[in-house]
This record gives sequence, structure tokens and C-alpha cells, in this order.
Amino acid sequence: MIDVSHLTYDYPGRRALDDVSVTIAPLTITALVGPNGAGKSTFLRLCAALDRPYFGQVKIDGIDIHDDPRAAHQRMGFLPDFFGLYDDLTVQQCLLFRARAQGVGAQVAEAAARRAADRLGLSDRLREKAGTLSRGLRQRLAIAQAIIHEPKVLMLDEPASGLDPEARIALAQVLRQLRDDGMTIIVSSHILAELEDYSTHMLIIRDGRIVEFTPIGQAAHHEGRLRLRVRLAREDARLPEIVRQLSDIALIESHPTTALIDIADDAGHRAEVLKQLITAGLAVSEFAPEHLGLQDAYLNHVQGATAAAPQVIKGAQAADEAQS
Amino acid sequence: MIGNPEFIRNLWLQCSWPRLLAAAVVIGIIYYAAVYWGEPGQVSAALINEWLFHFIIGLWSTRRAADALAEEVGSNTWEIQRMSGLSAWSMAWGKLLGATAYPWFCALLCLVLMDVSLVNRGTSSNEILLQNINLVASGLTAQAISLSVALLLLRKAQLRRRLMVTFAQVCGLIFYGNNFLRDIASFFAGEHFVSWYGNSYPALSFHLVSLIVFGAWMWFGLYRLMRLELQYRNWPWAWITFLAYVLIYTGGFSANAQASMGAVLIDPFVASVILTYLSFLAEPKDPVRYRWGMIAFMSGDFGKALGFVPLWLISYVVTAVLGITLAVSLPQGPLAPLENTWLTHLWFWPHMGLRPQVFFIACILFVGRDILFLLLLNLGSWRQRADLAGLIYLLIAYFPLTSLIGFVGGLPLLPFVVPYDAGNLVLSFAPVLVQIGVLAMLIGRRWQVSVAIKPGPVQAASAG
Repeated sequence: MIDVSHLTYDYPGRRALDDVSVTIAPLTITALVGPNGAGKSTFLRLCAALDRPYFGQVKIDGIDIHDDPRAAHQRMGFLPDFFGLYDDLTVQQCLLFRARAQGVGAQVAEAAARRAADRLGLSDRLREKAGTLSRGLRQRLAIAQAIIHEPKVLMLDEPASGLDPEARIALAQVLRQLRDDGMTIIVSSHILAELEDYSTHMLIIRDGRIVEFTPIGQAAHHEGRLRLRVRLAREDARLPEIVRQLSDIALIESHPTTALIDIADDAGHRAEVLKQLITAGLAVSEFAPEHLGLQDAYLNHVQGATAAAPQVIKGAQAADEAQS
Repeated sequence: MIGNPEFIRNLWLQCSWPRLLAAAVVIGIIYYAAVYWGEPGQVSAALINEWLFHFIIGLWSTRRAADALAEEVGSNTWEIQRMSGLSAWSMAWGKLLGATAYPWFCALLCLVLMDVSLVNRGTSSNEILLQNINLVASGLTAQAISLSVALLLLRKAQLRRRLMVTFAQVCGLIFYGNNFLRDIASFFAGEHFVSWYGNSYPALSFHLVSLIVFGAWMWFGLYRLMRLELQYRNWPWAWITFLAYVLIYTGGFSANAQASMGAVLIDPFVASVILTYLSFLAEPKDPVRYRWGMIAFMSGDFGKALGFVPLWLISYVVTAVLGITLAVSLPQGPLAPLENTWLTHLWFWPHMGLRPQVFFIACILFVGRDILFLLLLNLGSWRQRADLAGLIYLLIAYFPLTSLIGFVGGLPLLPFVVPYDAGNLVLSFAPVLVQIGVLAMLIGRRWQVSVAIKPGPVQAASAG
């Protein structure tokens, strides 16, 4: 749905994006994460055709957005980090205006405004002025404006910033619903826990480059290997020793009741390992692939582990430490 | 008109019923006060309403026009507008007429009351109609200028400061004021005639037609600027047509059956030089656009490359062609055929030198030097202030420095700072050619260091 190739952008005296290439599949929610100044907002602005890159190309739904930005804009919605609302207009006027400005016909604009208000839970606020709404409601109104023309791609820059927990949960529900309705979504945020609620992929940008683009919440695969969590029903000091004696297995971390192991991604081999653990007298209560959370994955990469398996192990330990 | 969402949005914001009613009441009170306490024959009522119109349209509506964009930038709604599906034309007129809808409502009330007073005074309907057209056309043009300047400033990332909004307003106001002063002059001087391409036209009618055509160009220019802002691709045909119009229009004042080619071309040449500087200062010298244009050109996509050609470059080429034609067509003997043109005044300008042909060729080179100098500054690290700083340097070079050199008797040094025929072609052209060469080299270096990019390998893998 979104194809970015060799995207490069400079601010005076500083390279903001450096030869960035990525392909984002349809019906996904990609969390765009990275430290402050990494280039996230610049990446989104270039993907929204608000700025022209020094070099590179962005295609949305097959359209080169810098060659034909108007056609691309019909297929995308964009919510900048500021909401961009007309405070003196009512919610209904804001939605009607945006619908008409996005080319929705006069006959169906009211229906489109009503539908967007319903989706975002604003139906009872139509007569209120945008300037009088709470931050959470203003954010919902801004999203309602961005999706009023049913775009295929929705990009949101720091949408949860300044929202209370309740509003964040509501935002997560809205984004999941929009994804289910057929949109491809990119969300930039600093709040990893919140992104994890609804993101399917994570795109890490650091120093203007893509460090990692990976699915979230799937088993932690790496080059044909898999990380497994072994959990015991009761403490057993022999656990690390027994694991080390097994063939083709690396122990990543170990505690009296649990161990994280690196094992070949092969079902037969896993069955054999489980059998050996039980035969050795360990009270195995859990033997399952370790799922990599967004926060784990982000910390893995930000703390320097990107490629080799040992680095992943360090990253996982760091993630566990961070969580604990 | 009602179908334009941008216009409707502005009406929602500007024209509430209480505001409309309040305006009608206030203007009505002023009118009746003028009628009852004014001079006999209702001269006061007509004058007061005309002045109210001037105040509302000249001062207030030009501010509203400039603010129409500045407010959107300030409230962070403009980026969303740039992504809307509105056409550039809808956005341009919807914003301009929408943002000024309330001032126009007030001003048109004044105009109607002024007309009523004039009819009561016995003024002919033809005269009233012409005056109304003049006032409305002046207002629409001034507003278009203010919004266009605001758009230009926005493209140069300079619209965040209120001072710049005031600058955009003042540009419109200057046009409106100039037009207004011309009306006063015509009123006192009576009906004059203007000679244009050898024909005589009544000055007021000529002025009115010129105003309407110029106003149409301003609206068209606004539309083209809005296209750029909304990221449509603009090919330069509109600018070329405008250049041609200006050259033909200005040439008409000197052209008649007896005029030589040199006499006819002098005004268009001066206009072309001015437009070259203006277009350079107005355009953002965006290296990214230059780079995209060069890539398109190098890859043979000339259609796309044309969309990136800077307008100042086109203006400069036209200036050069005109200047060379002018130099070639100038008479070698006495200047009698050129009487009453700018050229005869220039001829006697002490710093011009001996041969106007050399002077005009040197002019072309000096315009090129100035453009390169300003471009060099714009490719530097402080490009936000480059134009203003460069202009100050150039003004110092052209005026105090030239006077100083003339004062100390250093005439042979003049070709370094101003176009001047030193009596020898090498001495006249070599100093400016050397400057051009050095500036071109510096620009090339700066381009290589800060602009040119060599794409590297793909940094990240695809996933999905």
C-alpha cells in the first residue's frame, strides 16, 4: 500500500532522513517509533506529500505522491501533531466543511459527517464549538475530519500526546476499528505501551535511518531460530545445567523456575527437547514460544542489538530488566 | 458560489446575523448624520460614504486578505487545507472573497448609499457606474495583491511574524492608495488623454481598463500561486504571457509612427529588468526544486523540467534578449528620434558613459551578476535573511560606492560597480565578467557541498 524508496531529506545543515526505503502492507497498523529528532515527523510529512524530498519516491496505492499529490491526498488522511481545527466552528460545521473540501458531494456530505461523528463518538457534540471541546474530544474530531472521505491510508503524528488513559484506550479502539474497516494506518508516538495495543508492525527510525521494520506480537523468530520460554511448576536448581546439555540449544537466561532458550525453529526438535526435559524430572508447566512485545523489540534495537542472535539475547535481558 | 466550501466556511466565521445587522445600523447612522448635518446637495453624504469605502476596503479588507492565510498558518489548519481536495481556483477565490466578505458587506452598503447621494445630486448614471467599477476593481485588485504577497511570504517561510502580515497588507494598500491618488489627480487635472501605440485615449477610461486588466492578472497570479502552494505543477507559460503583456503594455507609451525601435524598447527593457529582480525576490530559492528540475532535465523529461524552471531565469533571458535588441537597434548618431523617452534622460546621466549600446549590454551583465550574488547568499546557511542582506549590499554598491568613486575621480573603476562605458570594450565588460565568473564558481562549489546528493544503497529491508 505504501512504498517508500531511497527517501532523503535535509534541513539546513542537517540530514533528517537518509536513504530510507520501506514497504508497508495494506490493512496494517505500523507504529513509527524512535527518539526525539529521529526523523519520524519528517517521514510522515514526506509520505503525506506536504514536503518534497531531496531524493527518493513515495507511492501510495500505486501513485507517486510527489508527481501527483492531489490524487494521493484523495487516498490518504493525515493528522499532524497539532490537530488543526477551526475553533469557532461547531463540530458539525467542521465535519461538513472537511467533507465538502475533500470532494464529498453536497447531497451526501451531511451523511458522511454524521457517519464520521458516530464512528468517533461525537454524535452528541455536533452543536458544540470545536474550541470548547476537551483535548480528547478535539483529537477525536481531528481524526473524524481526517477519515471523512474514507481514505485508504491514515497517518497520525503523535495522536495520543496529552490524552488521559481513558481517551488513549478509546483511541486504540478507534484505530483498530478503522483498520478492520479497510484502512492502512501509520502512527507515530513515543508511548510504546499504547502503540502495542493496536499496532501490527513497528518501524524504528533513528538518526534519519530505518533501524528495524518488524511485525509485533509474533513469536520471536530470527534466522530460522526461535526463542522459547520454559517454565517450571516448582523451583529446580538443575534447570540451567539440564538445558545446557541439550543439543542445538542456547540458554539465553535462567531463573530457578524459568528459562529462555534459543532453539531451531523445527517442531520435531521442539518435541524432542520437551520430552528430554520431562524425562530429566523437571516439572515443566509451560513450553511456549516467547512473544516479542513492541517495547521489547524497540528496546532491543535502541540499545544496540540489531542483527546477531547474541545481541538479541542481550536485548531480551535488557527488556526483562526494564519491565521488572 | 455557494458550492465553494472554503467560501462557506468563511461566511460561517465572518458573517453572523448580529454582525451584519450591527454593520447596517452603524453605517445607516453615519449616513443619516451626514445627510442631516452635511452641506446642502448631499455632497457630504457621498464623500463620507466614499471615504468609508476607502477605509474599509483599502485598510481593513487588505488586512483581512493577508490575515486569511496568516490565521490558518497560526492555528495550524493550513497543512490540512493543503491536503484538501479543493481546486486551486476554489481555494483562491473562496479564501479571498470569504475572508473579506464582512468588509465587502460594509463597503457595498457604503457604495449604495454613496450612489444614492450622487443620484440625488444629479450625477449622471454613467459617471456613477464608472466610479463604482473603479472602486470595486481597485478593492478586488488590492486584496488579491495582499493575499498573493502573503502566499509568497508563506512559500518563503516568512509569514509567521505579524510584521510580514502587515507587509502583505501594505503591498495591497499601496496599490489601492496609488490608485486613489491617481483619481484625485485626475479630478483636479481634468480629462487628459493618453497616447498608446499612437492612438489617443481618455485618461480615465484608459486607466479604468488598465486597472481591470491588471486586476485580472493579479487574480490569475493569485490562482497560480495557490496552485503552487497546493502542489499542482505550474508550467511557466502564465509568467511568459504576463511578461509579454507587460512588455507590450509598457512599449505602447513610446510607440508611434515616428518612434525608432530603440525608443519603443526602452520602457519594456526597464520593465523587464524590474520584473527580473521582483521575480527573483518573490520566489523561494529552493535548492530542492532546482535539483528536481535538473534531474528531470538530465533525464530528458523536459515537460517535467519546465515545471521547475525558476521564473527569474525566464525573466532574465527576456531581459537579455530585449537588451541586446535595444543595443543593436539604437541609432549611432544624435538622439533626436528618442526625445521624451527615458533613454534621453539616461543619455545625459553622467555615469552612463559614452555609448548607450555598451551601457545596455553592461546592464544585462550586471543584472546577471546581481542574481548570481543573491543566489550565492541563498544557497548559504542563513538563507532566511539572504535576500534582504543581499539587497542591502547591492544598494550600497550601486549608490554610495558609485558616488564615492565618482567623487574621488575614479571613473575607470566604475565598471566594477555599475554599468558604464569606459571607452574600451575590455575595460567596460571585463570587471563584471570576472565577477560573474567568480560568483558562478562559488555557487558551483556551494551546490556541490550542500545541495548535491549521491544516493546510497537501500538502508532498510522491506517487510510486510
